[in-house]
Amino acid sequence: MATRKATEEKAETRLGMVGTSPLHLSGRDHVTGRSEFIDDMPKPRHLLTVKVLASPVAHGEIRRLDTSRAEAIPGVVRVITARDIPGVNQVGGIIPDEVCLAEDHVAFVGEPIALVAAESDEAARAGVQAIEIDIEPLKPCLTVAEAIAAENFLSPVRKIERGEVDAAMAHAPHILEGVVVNEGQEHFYMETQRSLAVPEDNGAITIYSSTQHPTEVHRMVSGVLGLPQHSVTIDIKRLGGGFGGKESQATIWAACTALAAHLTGRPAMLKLEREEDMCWTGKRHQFVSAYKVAFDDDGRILALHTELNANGGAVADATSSILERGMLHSENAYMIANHRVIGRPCRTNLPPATAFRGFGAPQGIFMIETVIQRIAHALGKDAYSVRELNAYSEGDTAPYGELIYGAEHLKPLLAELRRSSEWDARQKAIADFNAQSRWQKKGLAMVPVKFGISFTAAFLNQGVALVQIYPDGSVSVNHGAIEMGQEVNTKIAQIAATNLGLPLSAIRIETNNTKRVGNAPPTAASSGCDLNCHAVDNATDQLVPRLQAKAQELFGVCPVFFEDGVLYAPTAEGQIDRDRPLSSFKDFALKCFQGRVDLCAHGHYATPRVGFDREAGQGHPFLYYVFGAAVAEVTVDLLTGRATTDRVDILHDSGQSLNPAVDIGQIEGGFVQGMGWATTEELVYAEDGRLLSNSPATYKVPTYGDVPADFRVRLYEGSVNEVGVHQSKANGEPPLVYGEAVFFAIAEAIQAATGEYPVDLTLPATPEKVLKALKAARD
Amino acid sequence: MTVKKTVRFFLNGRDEERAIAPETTLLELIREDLELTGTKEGCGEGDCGACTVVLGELVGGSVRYKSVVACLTPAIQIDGKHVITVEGMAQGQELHPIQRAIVDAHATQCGFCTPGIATSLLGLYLTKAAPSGQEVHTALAGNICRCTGYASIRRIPEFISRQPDAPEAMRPAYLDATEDKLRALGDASARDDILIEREGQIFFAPASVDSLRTFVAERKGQPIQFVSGGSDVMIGVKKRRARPPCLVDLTRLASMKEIRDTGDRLTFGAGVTLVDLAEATRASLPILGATIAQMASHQVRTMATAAGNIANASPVADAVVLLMALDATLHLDGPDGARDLKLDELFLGYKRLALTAGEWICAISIDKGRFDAVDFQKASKRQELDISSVNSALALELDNGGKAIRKARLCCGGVGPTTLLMKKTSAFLAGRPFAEATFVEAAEILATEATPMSDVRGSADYRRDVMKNLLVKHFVSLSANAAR
Repeated sequence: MATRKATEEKAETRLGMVGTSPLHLSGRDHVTGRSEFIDDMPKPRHLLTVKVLASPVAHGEIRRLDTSRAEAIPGVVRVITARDIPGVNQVGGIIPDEVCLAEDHVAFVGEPIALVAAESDEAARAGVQAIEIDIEPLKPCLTVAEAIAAENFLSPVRKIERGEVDAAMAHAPHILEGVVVNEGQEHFYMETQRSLAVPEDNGAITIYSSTQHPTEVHRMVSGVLGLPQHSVTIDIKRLGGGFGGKESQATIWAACTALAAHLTGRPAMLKLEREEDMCWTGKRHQFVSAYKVAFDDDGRILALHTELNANGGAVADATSSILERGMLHSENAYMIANHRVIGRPCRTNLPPATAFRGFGAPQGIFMIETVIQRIAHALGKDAYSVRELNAYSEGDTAPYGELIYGAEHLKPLLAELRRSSEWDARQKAIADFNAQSRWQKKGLAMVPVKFGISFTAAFLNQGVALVQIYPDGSVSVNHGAIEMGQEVNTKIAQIAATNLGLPLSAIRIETNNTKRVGNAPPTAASSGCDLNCHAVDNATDQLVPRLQAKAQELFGVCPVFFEDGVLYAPTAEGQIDRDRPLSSFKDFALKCFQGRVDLCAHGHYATPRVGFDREAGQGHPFLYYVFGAAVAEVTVDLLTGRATTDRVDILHDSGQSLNPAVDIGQIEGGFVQGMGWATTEELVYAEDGRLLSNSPATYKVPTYGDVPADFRVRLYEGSVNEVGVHQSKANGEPPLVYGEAVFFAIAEAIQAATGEYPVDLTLPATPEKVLKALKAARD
Repeated sequence: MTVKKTVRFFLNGRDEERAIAPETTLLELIREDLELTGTKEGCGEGDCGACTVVLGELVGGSVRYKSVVACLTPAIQIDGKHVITVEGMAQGQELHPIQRAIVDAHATQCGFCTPGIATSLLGLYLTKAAPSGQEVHTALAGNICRCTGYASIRRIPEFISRQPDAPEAMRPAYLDATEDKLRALGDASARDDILIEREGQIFFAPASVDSLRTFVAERKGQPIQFVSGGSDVMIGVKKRRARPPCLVDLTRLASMKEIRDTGDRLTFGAGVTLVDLAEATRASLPILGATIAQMASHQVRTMATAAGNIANASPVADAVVLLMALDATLHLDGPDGARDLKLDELFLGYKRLALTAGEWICAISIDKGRFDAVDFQKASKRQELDISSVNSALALELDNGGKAIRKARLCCGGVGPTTLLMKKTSAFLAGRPFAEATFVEAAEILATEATPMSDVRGSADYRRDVMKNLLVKHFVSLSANAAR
C-alpha cells in the first residue's frame, strides 16, 4: 500500500470518508433520548423481573438453601437454583472454573446463588428476602500476600526473560529495590449490567445483553440451557459504556436471565441496581509488584528484575491474559537488555477481577515508570533525560523477542512533547513556585506509552462482517464489534462508504446479532475497529470487482469510478472524469440486482504474523505498537492532601487517523478515566471482603471540574501504520495510561514539600494518602 | 380546602393527571407510567445526573425553570409544575440548539448520560441567555460522563454560540402557552391538599400551614417523616427500602419559602432551597453561597434545603457545620405549639434530634452582623459532588482592627456522632492574636476534643489530622481574604 500524505489529501476529502470527522452516527438519537438501551425497549408481554440472591459472604459453605417460602410469595413465578440448570452449570469463558449459580460453596461476595423470577420488582425482591439460606463462613483470603504464601494461583505462574539479569546486577554501579502497589478500579459504566431474554419458537431463545462479548454469551448460555448454539441468538444494539467490565462479566447475568426465561417460558429481564453492580462484579486488578533495578551513572537501566502479582479474585475470568499483558508491558517504552518479569495470578476471595481498559498494561507500565522516577531522583537527574536515554530506538526488540515496529517515532515524539509542553521552562517555574509557596506545592511529570495492539491469545485476532447492497443503493453493514461509545460504527461506516464510493448516509450499521455475524471476538484490546474494519474491507474487496465488472459491461468503459453515490467514466489518462457521470449508484444497484449480481458479501480477517508462546515467554504477540506521551502538572494542597490537575499535554500516535474527532475523544476520555484511577477512585473493602465504596456517593469518578483547566491533546503527525486499517492505529486503551502522569506529578509535589524520595504512596493518590505521605516524611 | 388524590402537571407542554403511589419518584413516573425512556437511571441516588429533567414552577407570578434529579424527586411534588424531559427539546426533526451543539462538539459517546447533559444545560440556558464558564461548570458538575472526559462537553457552549438562531430557539415552542396555564393554575396555596394512600402508607402534601397543623394534630404522638427536597428521604425509601408510614411534604407552603433580612438578622424558611438561599445572600452573607456551592450538585441543590440538611442529622452535613458556627436558631412548630431551639442543642446523638414527634422546622435565623470573619472548609476525596470526610466552620468576632480574636465558634463535622461545637478550642482562641501560631497551637487542643471513627470516607487518623489542618486552613483562608 502506498504511503499517503494524509494531511494534504484529507483536506480535500469529503466529510464522511476515511480521515474526516463526520458526526456521531447515533448523535441525533443520543441527544434526543431516542437511542434505545435494553431497558428502553418496549416491554414484551408477560415480562418477568429477575432478582438475584447473591452470596453475602466472601467465602463459605452453603449448609441449607430453602426456597419454599419464597415460592409462596404472591407474584413470585419461579425460584431457580443450581439444581434447576438444564445444561452445564459453567460460565468460565477462558478457564471453566466459574459456576453460574453456586452449588455448595461460595467464593466471593456477590456470587449468584439463586434467582427469583416474578411479576414485579417488589415481588422479586420479596422473594429474594424470603429465601432461607445458611452459609457457614470460612476465612476469606483477600490479599496477594496470602495467596502467594498458600501458592494459590488461578493459572500457571509465568516468566519472560532475556539477557543475563543476575550477572548484570552483580557489577552494576547502582541498585534500587522497591514495591509498587496499584489498587483496582470500578468500571462505572453508566448503564449497569442487564439483559432481556425472550423465548422463541421451537424452544429457542433470544437474548438482548449489554455485553462486549456476544460470542461468549452465545456459547455459555447455550451450555447452561443445554441448547445447541443455533437455538440461541444474541442481539446487541449498543452499550451504555463497557470499558472491559462487560467483556466476560456480562455473561453470567445473561445466563441468569436466559435461565429464568427458558424455565418459565416467559420473557425475563435482569437489571443490576448500581450498588449490586458495584458490589458483585469484578474490577481492574490490584497489582502488588516488586522490582530490583540496576543502572549506571547516566541513568541507563542495565538490568531489571520484576515480579507482578495480580489479585485475580475468586475465579480465573481473564486474569491470565491480563497478567500476561501486564508482563508484556513491564518495560513500557524502554530498551532493557537484561530483563526478567515473573507474573503470579493470585486467587483470592474477591469478585473475579476482570478486563478494564488497558487490560494489565497500565499496571505493568505503572511499575516501570515508578522505577524511572526513582532512578532520576537517585541520580538527581531530570526525569525526561532518563526516559530519553532508555527509550526504544529503531531496530530494538522487546524482551519477548518481537521487533518494536515504529520505534523510530518514539524519541521524536518525546522530544516534540518536551518542546510543546514547555517542559524545561515549567520545571523552572514550578521550582520557583514551590520555593515561595508555603501551603501548596506543584509537581510535573511525564509518562510515555508504548502499547502493543492485538489479543495475546492469537485465535481472538479475527474480524467478521456481512455487507449487503440493496437494489435502492443503500447498504447494510453487519460487523463483529460492539458499539459502546467508541464510535466503531461511525468508523466502520466511513470505511464502507469510502470503499464503495458512497456517501455516509447510504450506509446503515446493524445491531450485532449472532445470526448475522457469529463467532466474532470480544470488542476489546482496542481492536474492535481494526479487526472488523479489515473484515469489512474484505467484504467490499469482494463486492467491488463484481460491481466494476457489471458497470464496465453496462457502460462500456474501463475502469468505472464510484464516488459519492455516482458512477463516472475515466479520462483518457485513466483518472476520474467528473464531467462524465454514467449513472447514480441507486439506478446502478437496481440493474445489478436485475442482472443477478450477488450483492452480498461475508468478510473475514485473521491478523497475520501474531503468535505468542506463553510457556517460553517469546514470540510475536502484537501486530504493531501505539506510541504517545503525556505531561501533567498538579498543585497539591498540603493541608488537605487534595491535588488539582492544572495542565495536561498529550501527544498521541493514531497513525493516519480514521476519524480525528473520535480519536481525540478517546484520548481525552481515556486520560480522565486513568486520572480517576490514579487519584480519587478508591475501592475500600471491609475486613470480611465486602466492598464499602459501593455507590457513587462513596466511589468518586472524575466529574466536570476535575478535568485540567488547560488540557491540550494533539495527534502525532507522520506515523503511517502499514498494517493498520487505512494506515490508522487503534485508540481505545493506550490513553488510559496517561492518567498515571498525574500520580507521578503528585509524588513530585510531595517530594517538593518533604525533600524526600521515594514517596510512600500507592495508587490512587487520594487526599488521605497524600496527607499520610506528607506526615510520614515529617515524622 | 378539599383533598385530591392525583397529581396534575404538564409534561413537555401537555396536560397530564396521574394517580401515583406514595413512594413514586418522578423518574418512575416518567419512565414507567408515561413511558418516556430518554431520561435514564444511572445510580438512583442523585449522584450521576443521568435522570436530570427541568421543572418549571410559578414563583411570584412568573415561571422559573430549574434542573432536578428525577430519581430523588417525589412525584407528589410536581403537582402544578411543568416537567420538561429530553423528549421535549427537539421540535419535530429540528434539534434544540443545545442538542445540535452536543452533536457538533462530538460531546456524546455511549449516549447514556447525554440526555441528562442536555437537560442540565436546558435548565441553565432557560435562566441565563449567555452563561459564564463557571455557570456552565456549576450546571454540569452533577452530570457524570464516564466516556468523554468532559473535554468535549466543555466545548458545548461554544457550539451553541455559533448558532445564530440559538437565543430564539432556546425556549421550546410550547413554553409560552404552558406558562399561561401555570399562571392560570396559580401557586400551590391556591390548590387542593394532596393525599396519596396505598397499602398502609400515606403521603400528604398540604397546600397551607393550616392543613398541615390539622393533619399533624390528628396524628399527635405518631411518627411523621417530613419531606422537603427529598434528597435524603427518597434515598432511604428507594435504596434502603425504608417504609415510613406517614410522609408529609413541606414544599408547597408559601410561608416556609420566605427570606427576611433585617440587616442584623437573617431569617429563612425551611422550604428555601439551597440554590435560592445562596442567591438571596450572595451579597449579604457570601459564606453561605460559598459553602452551598460545595454541597451535592446543582440539580440536587435546586430541591434540597438547609432545614433538610439539618433534620437529616448527618454528622458530615456541610450546611449544619456552618450554621452551627454562626449560632443559628431554629424556629419550630408542632402539635405542642411553636418554640425556638439553638442549632447547637438539636443533636442528642447519632441521627437523634431534640424534636418531638410531629414537630417540624419552620425557619432558621442567624445574627448576621455578629461575626467579623467566617470561614468554611471541607476535606473530601473529590472536589465537587462529594460528601465531606471532615468539615469545619469557624466564626470569629475580632478586635483591634482584626488583629485579635474576641470570641470564636469552631464547629467540626465527621469527627463524632454529630456535628460538634468545639468548646475548648473556641474558648482557647478567644482573646488571642489572630496569627498562625495561635491556630497551630489551637489545633493541638482541637485534637483532644473529638475521637473520630474510621469508615469508608476516611480513617480515624486521617480525620484527626485533617480536622487540625482545616483549622489552620481557616487561618490561611481568612488571612488571604483580609489581604485582599
